[in-house]
Amino acid sequence: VNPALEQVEIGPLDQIRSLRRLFGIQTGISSAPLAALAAHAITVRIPAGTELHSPEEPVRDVYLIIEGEIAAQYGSAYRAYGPQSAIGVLASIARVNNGFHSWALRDTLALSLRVEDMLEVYEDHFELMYAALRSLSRDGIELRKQMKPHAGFSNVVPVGVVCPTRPLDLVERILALRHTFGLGHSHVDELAELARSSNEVRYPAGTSLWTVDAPAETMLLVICGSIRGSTRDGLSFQLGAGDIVGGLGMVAELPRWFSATVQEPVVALSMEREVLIDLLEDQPELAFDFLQLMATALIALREQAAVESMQTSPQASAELAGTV
Amino acid sequence: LLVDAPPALQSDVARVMLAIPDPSHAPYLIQMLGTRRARPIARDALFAIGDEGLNALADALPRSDLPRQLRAHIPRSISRFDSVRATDVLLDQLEHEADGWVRFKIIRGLGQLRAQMRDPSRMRRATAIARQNLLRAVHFMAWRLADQRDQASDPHLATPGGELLVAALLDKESHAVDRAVRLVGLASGPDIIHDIRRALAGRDRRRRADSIEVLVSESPPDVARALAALLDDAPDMVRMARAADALHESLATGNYEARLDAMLSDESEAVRSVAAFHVGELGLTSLAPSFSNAAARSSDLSSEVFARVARLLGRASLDNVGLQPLAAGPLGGQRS
Repeated sequence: VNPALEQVEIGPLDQIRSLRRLFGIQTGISSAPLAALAAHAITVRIPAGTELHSPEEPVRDVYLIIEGEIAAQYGSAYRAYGPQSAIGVLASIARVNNGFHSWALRDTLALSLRVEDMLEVYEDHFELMYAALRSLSRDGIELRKQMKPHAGFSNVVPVGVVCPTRPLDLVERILALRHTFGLGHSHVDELAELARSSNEVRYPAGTSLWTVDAPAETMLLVICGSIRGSTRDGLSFQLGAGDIVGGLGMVAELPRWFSATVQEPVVALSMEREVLIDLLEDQPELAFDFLQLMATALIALREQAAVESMQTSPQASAELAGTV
Repeated sequence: LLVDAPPALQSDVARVMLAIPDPSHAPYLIQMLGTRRARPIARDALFAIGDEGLNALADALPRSDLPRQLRAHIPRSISRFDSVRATDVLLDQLEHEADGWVRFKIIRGLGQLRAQMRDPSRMRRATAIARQNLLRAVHFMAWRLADQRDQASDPHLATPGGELLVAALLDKESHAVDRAVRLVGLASGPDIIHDIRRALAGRDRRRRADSIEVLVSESPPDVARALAALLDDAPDMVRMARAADALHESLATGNYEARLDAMLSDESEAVRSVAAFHVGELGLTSLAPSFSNAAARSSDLSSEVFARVARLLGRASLDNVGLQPLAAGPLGGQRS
């Protein structure tokens, strides 16, 4: 525990109650994983002005605010967080620092957890891992919806990726997955399971894959071709080889937030939600890869959103929302 | 009622069985461990049954005829009992289990039973398995380094399949070291092993060195020296030589073909498939016997790899390579 912080006894039931509020009672997380987290948590009183995370140090602890207020900053993205917020989670999952900085704005009461303990409990209790994945996906969707005109996507797709003329075998699928965003360092056995659990799909240009508000039951890992995404608010973007399309909505368990139409003929691996969840539970390292992928993307998006907001409206950066 | 039952119905049935624990429910509850939504309730219900529940799980654990997806969830269900008997059941199976994935699940299950692992005789058994993992790690490392050396000197070998094979060897090496750390770490309390693993994942050299010292402090000298060497941040060749020396192991890597031949017999179907793919890239007809054996063990998608490579190598008659009949091919799921 940070030696500057005074430990406070609040009792295990109150700790679990705080964790339930943090994860949202509606997520239906059972008591056992929360008790496991509570077993590692220490309640601390944080005096106003105390620095919790320094831009020069890796994130070692996360803080779950019970009362009070903590400021957090990623590069240009700054916001004050109140009760039921978690501080340091993204940087710890992404395993990057990226200049993450946080400090108490007021005297604050929080649960403090060592990052490795938190990740260990995630590994042991998949409910928590999945809740984290779902939460990051929801944050990602909310953020992308605010980012004009391309929802935070680069809107550039790789050119010159030739579509395979025949169905891919297992090894070819693994090779393709190693070129998929965020999966380049995943273990071969895990990619093999991902490859086995997916279906190869081929769509001609002009195919409507889904429309806004349709149920999001599948995601596509694109091997070649391009897909145009569009929202009712006028956002428009292209996705292509190496991109995961529809994954955020699927994991978030929310309806489709954009319509998707095939622009250039697509070959992709399609994966259903239930199959992916089963796979992630059985392959914890792959689940961590996905979690890290989402956290890294969310950090980058936050910074991008902050920079864009400051260019259009200097006050807007303080309005960014989400877990940090 | 449970035949092809949807997950929601299985969960409901498990809840009813939890409310009225009865040993006769155990076989059905074990089947439900394969269904994610029903699993936590089925585990609770098996625990509520008591000794009979544990006996049923102990009987099911070695059954290789059960689906792998189900067997992998039995170890954590057993560790739920947190007893001497539960620990011995897991250790017994760990010594005989052929499936690496199930072995990993058993080791994770033992991680929940640290209090029982304080017994020196149990730790000796865990250490013996850690030693086997260290030997595997050293051999995989030797193969990887030899492959990398050969691919660097002969670019003809550095194909996509060749690079994937090197990545697979690195995975196997790191998995084996990870298993050894987990097994040796069973002697430590949960807080201590958490700290050790945190330090090992970090870059602080002093903290890493201190952690390694604590981790191996109660291990026999050969295991301690080998594990410390493999976890060190010295160059690969140095780490490998130190670990092999500690384990009194001589390393013979053979030539590139010999290593590919061995990879065709690996326990992982993914690795066998990648090796076959690479055999096809290199046009190596000399490995036909091992290729045929590996093809005979292939299933679904990996059969496609072997069939294609067999055609490439001019062995168009699939009977010659002992292929299993294809299940629904990858196009079976097309939705275009």
